[in-house]
Amino acid sequence: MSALLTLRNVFWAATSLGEIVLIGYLIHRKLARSHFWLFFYLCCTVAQSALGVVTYSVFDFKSPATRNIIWGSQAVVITMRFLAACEMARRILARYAGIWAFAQRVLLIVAAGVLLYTAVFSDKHLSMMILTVDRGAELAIASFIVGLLLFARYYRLEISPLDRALSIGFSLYSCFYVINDSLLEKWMEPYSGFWGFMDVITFLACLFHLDPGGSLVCSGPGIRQPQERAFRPLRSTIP
Amino acid sequence: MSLAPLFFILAALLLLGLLAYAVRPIEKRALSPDSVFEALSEPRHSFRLPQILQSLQPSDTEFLERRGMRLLRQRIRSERTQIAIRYLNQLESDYETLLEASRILAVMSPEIVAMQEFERLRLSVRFAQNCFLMRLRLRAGFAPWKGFATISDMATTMSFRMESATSQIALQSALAADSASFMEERGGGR
Repeated sequence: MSALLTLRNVFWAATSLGEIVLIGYLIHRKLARSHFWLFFYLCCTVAQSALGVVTYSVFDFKSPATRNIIWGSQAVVITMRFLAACEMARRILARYAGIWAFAQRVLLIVAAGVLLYTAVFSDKHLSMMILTVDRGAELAIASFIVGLLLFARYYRLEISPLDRALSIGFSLYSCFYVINDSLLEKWMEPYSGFWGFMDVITFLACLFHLDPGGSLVCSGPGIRQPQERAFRPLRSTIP
Repeated sequence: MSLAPLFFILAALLLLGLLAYAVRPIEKRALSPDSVFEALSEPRHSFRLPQILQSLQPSDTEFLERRGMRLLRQRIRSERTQIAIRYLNQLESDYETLLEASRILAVMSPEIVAMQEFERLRLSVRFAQNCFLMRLRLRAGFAPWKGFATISDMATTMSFRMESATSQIALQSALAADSASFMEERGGGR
């Protein structure tokens, strides 16, 4: 178990390093302004990692303060990711005013619809609410981005390689996040350590994925949160 | 037992499938704007509808029955049904071209065409559904008059819409060019 935790921490450090490299890349290529929300989101993920380290060293794993800080920071990170996805949609579609006007409505309605559907179909137990909202938000982001890519395909719009890599990375991460969360909720609670490790691996796989041409692409989807640790205080509230 | 986790897993898998479809390379070559305008100006198969409907009328081949050529009548009617099915395929192909044209116009257009996209999507679904039912009707030997007229009307409506959108885009481009030259003249006069 401790070997797994060590390995997970190594991967956690590697992903934080990947995020810092991506921030450096955006600054170096002078993309920080045009990709402002992505840049801000990456900064938030690095800050979240640092906050996680500080929180776990100061507070007990099961303390309410730990739970509030970790899940609070998670809400900020997810919001930033959604804003980065909206910014990406604007970059891809805004050149085509007519399509953009139509797509804005459709994509926002799809995202809101998925959130609503999630709320209706989810476990109404109060202790599971955070996990549910988190998963619903991820599903909404994934639907938004996949919808965006379908729009681009239908109208045969050009997408820059960076935006293409970002959109694939974002949506892959969100989809696997939803699957991971659902597996954890239903079957894997006794293996939450392994689950936390898989979450880090998912993030790394989405951060560096292969593009259709076969070359390695860095996309920076979402930070893997210190989920396994964050989940413990949450689970401690479940009777 | 809660089914919520299963629902989420299925939803995520569906999204992964759609993602794989969305990032797949496009095989069909897109039409160039020139070929779109050419396709819009070509005569449509829907103009031949009266002849097709006439050929499918039972009264058109009744005289063969009266003269005792029942087999010949059956053969002619079967051949005409095949021709009607081919005609239906051509109508569908026309409609596909119009859809392709609408995509290109939506990309070129500032706002006119794309706002009607939802309406076009609805129309396309109805068109495909009507074509499917029409094929079944033709094969089963039922009277296809009403269905054919509906399909043909839909293709014609789509064609008119495309033409009107093209005219509006042309008008907007002309107005934009006019105002640009006007501004240029004013700027040059100072």
